[in-house]
Amino acid sequence: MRKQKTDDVDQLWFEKHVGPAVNRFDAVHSPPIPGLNELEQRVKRHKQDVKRMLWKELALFWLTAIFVLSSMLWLLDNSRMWFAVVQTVFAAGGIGYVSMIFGRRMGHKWKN
Amino acid sequence: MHDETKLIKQAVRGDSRALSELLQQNYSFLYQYVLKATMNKSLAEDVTQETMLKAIEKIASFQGKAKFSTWLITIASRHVVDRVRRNEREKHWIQEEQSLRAVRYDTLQRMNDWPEALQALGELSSDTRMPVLLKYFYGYTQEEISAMLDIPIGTVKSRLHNGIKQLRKELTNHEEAKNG
Repeated sequence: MRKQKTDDVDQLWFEKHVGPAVNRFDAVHSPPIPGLNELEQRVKRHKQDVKRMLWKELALFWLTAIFVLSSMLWLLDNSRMWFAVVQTVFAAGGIGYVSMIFGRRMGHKWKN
Repeated sequence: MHDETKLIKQAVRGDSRALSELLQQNYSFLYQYVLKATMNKSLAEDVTQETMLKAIEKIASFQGKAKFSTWLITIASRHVVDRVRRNEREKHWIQEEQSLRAVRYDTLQRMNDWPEALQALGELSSDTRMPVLLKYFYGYTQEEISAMLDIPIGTVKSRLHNGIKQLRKELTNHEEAKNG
């Protein structure tokens, strides 16, 4: 309840001492607004760019996946020992990467 | 309002014209918010453009729980935070001072005045200025600000407290200097 009162006092103080200046600031800094057709062109262009980028990323993902899978199958066919070694290294790398990301996130939360 | 809801539905379904109308209707509002949050004209222009591009990319995921303008402000605020962090890392403090001076000069040209309230607001760090503006100028609640800026509510409260305290101090000092 007391906090609410403090909030109201602060709100009234802001509206009286800062609000009018900010309103005037807004009034003199209104930007030129782009036309509807110009904006529509921009929206369409950006949507196309994003779509193109997503297709590119998807193609890259599949190429990498095919390369990794065929290498693994080739390795499995030729040397089971090396296959196990590579799998272990990949697993360790994956665990390390995930814990690094998780640790960074926790650190960020803690700092907040 | 009804018109906005209809436009949002169309935009979410992929209608570019509807999205353009929404962006056009909110363009001034967005730019003015970013300009106040950054007190830097060129940065405000960049962040406004980046926000619009992000909105175009993410419109399909907009659920319509908040107003479209609130959604834009949320995106813009996060861009501002990123930019400020980057500037801090690259130690661009002098640039910040220069940009405030440039905004002051520009405002003086346009309204023949640079109120002390704006100077005091400009001297707050943007981390503090954004919650202060969102709460006391735009009327968002602390919970909404916490979600918009992606910071804990305790941080919002302390930034509001410090921000108002600093504003009061600056303006009181100025009043005293003027009277005494």
